[in-house]
Amino acid sequence: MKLGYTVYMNYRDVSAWVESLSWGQPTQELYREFSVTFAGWNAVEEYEEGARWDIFASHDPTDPRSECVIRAGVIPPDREGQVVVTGQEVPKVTLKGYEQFWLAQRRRPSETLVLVPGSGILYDIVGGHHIVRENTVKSALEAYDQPVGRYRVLQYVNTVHEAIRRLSREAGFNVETRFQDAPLTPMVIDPEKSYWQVIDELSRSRRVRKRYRRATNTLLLVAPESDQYGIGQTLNLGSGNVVSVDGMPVRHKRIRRIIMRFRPGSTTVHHHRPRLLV
Amino acid sequence: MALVPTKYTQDRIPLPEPDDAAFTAPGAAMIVECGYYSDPAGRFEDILIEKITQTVSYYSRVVSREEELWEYEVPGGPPVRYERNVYGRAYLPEVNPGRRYMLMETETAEFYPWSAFQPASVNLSSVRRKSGYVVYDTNYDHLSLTAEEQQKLEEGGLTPWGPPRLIVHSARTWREASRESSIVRSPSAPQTTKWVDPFEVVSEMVWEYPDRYDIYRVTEERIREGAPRIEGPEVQRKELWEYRLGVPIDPPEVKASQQGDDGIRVELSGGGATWNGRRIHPDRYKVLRRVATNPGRAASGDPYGIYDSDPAPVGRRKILTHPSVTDLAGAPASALPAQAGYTEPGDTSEPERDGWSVIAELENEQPRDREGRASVLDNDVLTGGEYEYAGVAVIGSDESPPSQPVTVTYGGADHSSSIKVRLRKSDDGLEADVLRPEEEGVLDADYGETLVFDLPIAVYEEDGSAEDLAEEIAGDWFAAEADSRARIRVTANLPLVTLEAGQRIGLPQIELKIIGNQLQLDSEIEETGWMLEGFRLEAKRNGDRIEGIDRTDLELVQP
Repeated sequence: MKLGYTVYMNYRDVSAWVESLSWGQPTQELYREFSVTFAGWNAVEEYEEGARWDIFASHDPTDPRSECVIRAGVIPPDREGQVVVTGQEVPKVTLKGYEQFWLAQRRRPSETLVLVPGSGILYDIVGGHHIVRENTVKSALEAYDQPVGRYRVLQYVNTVHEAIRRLSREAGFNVETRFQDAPLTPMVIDPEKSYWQVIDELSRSRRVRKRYRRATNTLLLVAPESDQYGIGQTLNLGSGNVVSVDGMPVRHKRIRRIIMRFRPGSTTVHHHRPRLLV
Repeated sequence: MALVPTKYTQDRIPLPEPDDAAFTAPGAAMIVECGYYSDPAGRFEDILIEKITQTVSYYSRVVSREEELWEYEVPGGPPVRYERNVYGRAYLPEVNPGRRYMLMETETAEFYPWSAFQPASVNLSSVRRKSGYVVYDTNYDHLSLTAEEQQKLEEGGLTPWGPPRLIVHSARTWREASRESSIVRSPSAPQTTKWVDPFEVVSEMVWEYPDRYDIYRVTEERIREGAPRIEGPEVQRKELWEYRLGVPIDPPEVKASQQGDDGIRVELSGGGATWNGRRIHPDRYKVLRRVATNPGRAASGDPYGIYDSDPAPVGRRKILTHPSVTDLAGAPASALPAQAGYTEPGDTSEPERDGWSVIAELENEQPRDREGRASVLDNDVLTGGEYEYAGVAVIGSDESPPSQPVTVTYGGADHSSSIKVRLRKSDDGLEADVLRPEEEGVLDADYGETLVFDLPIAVYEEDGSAEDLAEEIAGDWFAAEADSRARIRVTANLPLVTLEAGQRIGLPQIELKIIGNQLQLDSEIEETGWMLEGFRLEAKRNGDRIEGIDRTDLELVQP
């Protein structure tokens, strides 16, 4: 029961050039990667830079595109010119690319982002008057030690979950947050950081496992206790299907001490809970 | 006048438009001008020095004016004098029939300081004098004789007293008279006006008692009959007495010892002062601590420099002494005390700190007539750390010098068995420092890693939510990372297309035995299922023929 495959470069079937092909998901990464070696002069001459790559697999020769194993793959632009052409009798092109989530993980905001709970203005109501206690945008920017430049304010980001949802929407993927939520202080996001890095920092302390479902373009952030049941369907492999097994125990790092720094957001050190009027 | 106004405010309040009830000219306004002394150092709130209230008509013609002035000796002190002048255009018989603008009334008050009172006798607190115009109603008094006396005079050939004489019938201040509308605006009216200085004197008397002041107010009206009016007493309670000892206080004795896994118990006893042959025991104790060495925290893991025990480099600090200046005996003069901490301009290094900090303030547990004692458990300690403790005895607001320090090394073979959470607040925010229970069999106090999280999460220090959150997060990490896990690579002889990392993979028919390193001599793997971490499918061309994929490599890990 062999699996057939088809490789498309910019919607053009180039399976005839394929010398060797592999795809898979690297350990502890969220994207699929693929590597192809093309052989022949056709491949060298008609190779297109910046192309979209699609790889299909099928058990049924009459329906060769029944399963899309790589959808909208990209070759990293910095590696595009480094396609290796080995000068033998038959020239070969070797390339390695990634599926789209690889790109989404590297997307960055073009300006500084300021996330504030509520409208950004903290009020007290005294005698029926709204008295502005604090401008949280201002205090967040004051607590931020990098140069700010152009910035954009995202309002009504009250919790960690909401922040992750807003950031993933900007980065272009869906997200499911399956861990405990917490109220957020006003925070500033460096334009040098990718959305993915910020999402990772926001959820890392909760020891969440990150999973990615290709089918719905959804990032899953799962608390460890529910992650052990797995996502999707459980697959049982019988002994007849297992060719070889090898392994080793992994000792995790010995953690002695954990330091949690709560940023001096506006709400951290007040003596009473501030009232948010939105 | 010691203080002069340095800041003025002016308010213009338009008076209501005229109607039938009030004969106000249109456009009239009241102007209130206040002069404040504003302390240049900002130590006090603004002090009102003068206040001028004017009523002006539409054409800015001043209708009435009231000037008030308070005099202060020093900012922050009580006023020493008050003065008020009232100008107006009231009709006053004989004096101001033309309603010109003139001084109508003057009030002065002098306030005497409340110090050096004679006990149990009257003391003058303030005297307030009001002077101004008084309107007199006059009347004719024909005769002061009775009819019988008059008849006797006539019988004796004498005529009674000549023409009837003018007497004062009643007197009112100009303000009372105009308010009652009892001034008759006619030159022939039997009314006259006179400046009376003063027409009313209000003096405030104070009697001092050990626990209170009694204040009486005596009002003496000079234009009316009757005895002075006395109001009071108004009782003002004193604050509690505080005695301040001029005698030295002895420091307490300090004992410190390790108390199991919980921390270091610091016990303080004794201390106090002897006064008049009587022993006065301390009200409170303070416990001082200095961290000599703290093993768990290297400089890299110390973002706020809390455990930074290195003193600033000595060479950068210069104490200014001039060798040519000598004392009277000819020896070089010693540095002034204030120069000991002097830093050269431009020296950006932190001032040298001795590292002692107060970790607890304790009430004396013993009754007042017994020798004092108190104790505290210091649980902010690490295994292998060296700590110094000293005590200070406190009586009232006086403190003893610190006692001789005692040094304790915490730890050794003992291991703490619980997660320890400590909160530290600094200018940069709140920091929660969570320590894992120490592992058995690890002698090195420096083992393990430190994880640092910057959390933009709103926590509240006072209700314990920060501690709860820190313990919850850290406990999760400690529990999960305590066990080792197995990681295996499996090759399956069939192509798997729909794999996803995070999928659960079962290998029900396979028994595994994994041999590891010394620490993990033998791990029996229970069949609990595996998590898919990564996979790979490969295909190769065999000559001209494209070969299909027939196998899958899987990376699995124990959940």
